Amino acid sequence: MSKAFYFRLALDNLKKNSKMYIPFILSCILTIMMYYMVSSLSMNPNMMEIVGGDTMQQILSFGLYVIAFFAIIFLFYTNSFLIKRRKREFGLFNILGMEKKHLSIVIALESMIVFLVSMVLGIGIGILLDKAFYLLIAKMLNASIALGFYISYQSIVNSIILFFIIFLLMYIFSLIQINLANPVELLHGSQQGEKEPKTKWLLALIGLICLGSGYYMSISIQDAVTAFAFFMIAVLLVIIGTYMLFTSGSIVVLKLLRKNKRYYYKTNHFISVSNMIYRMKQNAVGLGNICILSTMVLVMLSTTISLWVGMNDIIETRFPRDLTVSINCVDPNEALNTIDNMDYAIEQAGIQTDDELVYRTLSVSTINKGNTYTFGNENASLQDISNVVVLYFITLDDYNMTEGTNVHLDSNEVLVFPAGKQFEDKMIDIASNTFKVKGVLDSIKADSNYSANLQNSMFIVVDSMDTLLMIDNLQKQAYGDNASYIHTSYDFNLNKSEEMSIKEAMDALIANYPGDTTYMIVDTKEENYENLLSLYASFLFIGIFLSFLFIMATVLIMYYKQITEGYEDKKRFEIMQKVGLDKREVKKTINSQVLTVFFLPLVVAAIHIVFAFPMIEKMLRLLYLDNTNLYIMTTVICFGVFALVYVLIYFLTSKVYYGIVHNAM
Amino acid sequence: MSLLTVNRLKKVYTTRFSQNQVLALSDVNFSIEKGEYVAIMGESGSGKTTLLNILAALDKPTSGTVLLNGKDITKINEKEICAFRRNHLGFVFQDFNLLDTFSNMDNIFLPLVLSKKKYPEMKLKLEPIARQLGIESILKKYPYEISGGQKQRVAVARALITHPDLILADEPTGALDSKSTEELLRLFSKINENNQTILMVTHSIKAASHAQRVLFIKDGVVFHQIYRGDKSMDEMYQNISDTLTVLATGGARNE
Ligand SMILES: Nc1ncnc2c1ncn2[C@@H]1O[C@H](COP(=O)(O)OP(=O)(O)OP(=O)(O)O)[C@@H](O)[C@H]1O
Ligand SMILES: [Mg+2]
Repeated sequence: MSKAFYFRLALDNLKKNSKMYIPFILSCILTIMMYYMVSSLSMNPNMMEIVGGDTMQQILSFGLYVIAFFAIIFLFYTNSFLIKRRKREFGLFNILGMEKKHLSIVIALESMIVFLVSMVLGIGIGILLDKAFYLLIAKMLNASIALGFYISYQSIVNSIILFFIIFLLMYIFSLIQINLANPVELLHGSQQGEKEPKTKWLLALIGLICLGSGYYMSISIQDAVTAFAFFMIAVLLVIIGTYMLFTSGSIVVLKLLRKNKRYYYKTNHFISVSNMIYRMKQNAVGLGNICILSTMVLVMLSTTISLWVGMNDIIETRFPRDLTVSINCVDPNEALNTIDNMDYAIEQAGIQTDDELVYRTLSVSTINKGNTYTFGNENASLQDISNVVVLYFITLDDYNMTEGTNVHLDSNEVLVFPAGKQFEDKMIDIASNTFKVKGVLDSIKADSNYSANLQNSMFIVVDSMDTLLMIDNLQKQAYGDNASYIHTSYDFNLNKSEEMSIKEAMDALIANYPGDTTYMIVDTKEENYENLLSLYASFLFIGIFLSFLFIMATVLIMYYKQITEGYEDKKRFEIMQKVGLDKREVKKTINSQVLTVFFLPLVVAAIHIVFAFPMIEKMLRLLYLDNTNLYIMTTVICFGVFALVYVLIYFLTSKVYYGIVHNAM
Repeated sequence: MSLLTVNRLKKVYTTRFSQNQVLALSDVNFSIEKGEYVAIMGESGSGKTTLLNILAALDKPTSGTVLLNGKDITKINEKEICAFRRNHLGFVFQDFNLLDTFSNMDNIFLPLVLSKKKYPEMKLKLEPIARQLGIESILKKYPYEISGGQKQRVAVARALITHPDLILADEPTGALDSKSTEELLRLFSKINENNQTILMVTHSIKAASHAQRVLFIKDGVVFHQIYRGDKSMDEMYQNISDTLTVLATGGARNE
């Protein structure tokens, strides 16, 4: 048999199976295209010249790993599906006298053809679109646009290497699949999975527990830092739970329904329950995939869009003033002079200021039990760690100055700002010093660090600097090297008439400051705006990119699901009609089953999103977005749009299904 | 009155993509009495399956009538046809047509469930039939877990459970080995002794010789028929095989 013969055979095979291969090749092309584009953008030297371009490139190169990882899993999954469907065909070849050796040559040629076509088109389209995306990024970052056309040879080489390896692995996997089976098995390959699935109570239970604990984490965690730490664990639990419930849980429920004779032996229940058991067995993993992918898309889009849209808000809350100076005082006595030093520096630099906010705080981590707050030590147990409350101490003078009030406190009295928590204690005990709570505050201005949002924290206004220093002394004894320093915050706007740019003002300030500048940090709103812009633009960009990839995967999985089910249902419904089920009823049951199976993942994804909400909201706080309404709005809109796309996909792919089943109706 | 009367039945297939017309049945006439056991024979492509499909109301004839219990089933409208099929007819197919998604028991229940019968009633009906067919031990199993002969018995049970007026069987022994064939034929005879009317299409002379009457179809008409009468099974066998030889050599219509 000549080479040309094999080649013709391979081409014929692909044509014969075009219903399955065209979508596969399309998704290969798209995956390669995206990989190339992201890779090329992350290397494009023009990007370095855009302000924030470097952040974007860092995030893109991280995104590249995600795409590569996803491409491997996704292409493998579809390939194994294709091989399973084609086992019968291979078996036939085998029985008709084609050795497995020759079979493997044919499959190798097929893979080659698919690889070459995908590679050429993928990179070709990638190069064309690359420029468009570069322009988009430049626009997002408010940058002027560099001309010229950029082709990254390095990216082309990288793409070829990566996808060659993926295709090679898929090829090896196919060969293993075929070699493991004997011809008779191959012939029946696509009919496997007809066996009734086993009931796996234990797995269903584990799934339920995983899902439950993931959900519980999300709703029970109170502060942003913990939320951040546990987010990945919660996500993992929910993913495991989703798969287990889709695979085992669904079967358990359906079998319970079947056990209930009175429910089961009703015409429509009878057919749908028994069919659903089989559908779930074959599709559970696919449905789980769709559900997880949908959830990821929704979370990614809604968070990145929220951050992008809310960016100006974030800047305003986080940096209400042009300049934010913060000074940590290693020597507590210096804290007494920081404000004077700043005033002096401002005067010397000749800066006109407006709207100053000046105060000093001392933040101490404490372990809270009832109304006592103790300074921890190394012996703190794990249980204590969950009771950590960060106390921010501020003197009455600073408080009165920032708030413009004239409150009076006696030496053992304090004011408390509980930062959103319930607080009803009349006395509090801090490191064995008892204070009388004179009042509970609704708000406090002296929190320009926005700390109250992030941790379990509380502000305590003490009567004098002496008390503050006393507490400082105690915490230094308790924490030693890990003790915190008294922190001075000096925020102000430049006066409108000021000629100096913010950058000049910043430099002049530092140059004229008479004290120790080692622990002095000057932040400008401008600079922060640029940083946030590039960060959030990168998030959004990657978010959209990955969403696109995931949606494509979802479409493909659905499409294959419809094809497989179509062929199997066709036989089933033919038989049912012969036994006396009328066409209308057949149509009705088909519709209801197809709809259930199709929209189950979307419904579960919606539930996931609802439960993820509290956790994500807290994490967004860590990124300084505290506009909950904005986040809710974006999520709802994203879900709406996604659901629309989903319905569209449904109509497109179900056409294939009904086309196949049609003859039976 | 006969249970089934077929009158001037004609069926022409027109394929959608060509003008080719196939005359599958040209003028078929016969009738079946209640309690009769009739076999239909004929060469491949002679129109047996076509005839059976029309009798089962799965297909419409081009012209002619089919009276079952005096009712013309070719005139029943689409809506009632399924119910009619469920209540009056039972089917046994060559390839069993059992659903892998149901246990054997549920496969047998299928027509009853479609007729909205209650579970206790279904169970009551199943017991004697399962005993008679010897399938009690495999009821809980699934079609893919049992042998071909067992599958065919399950299919027979599904056909019998509605107590149909007429059982239609299209080559029911086609996929069975000789032992299973023998069992199934004995079963059919036994069912027939209980006054169940059976119409069976078969290629097997042996199967046909169990029937009380054999119809031969050729060129779209009932070409010939043989009554068993008092003949022994062997005589019947000989008779059928002679007839088939004559048919095959293209003998003119006689007798
Ligand atoms: N759906 C159809 N469309 C067109 N022609 C058909 C169709 N079904 C059957 N025919 C033709 O009608 C004729 C009779 O077919 P039928 O299936 O009834 O034969 P048969 O006697 O059952 O044959 P066999 O013993 O092989 O099962 C054949 O020539 C066949 O090609
Ligand atoms: Mg036939």
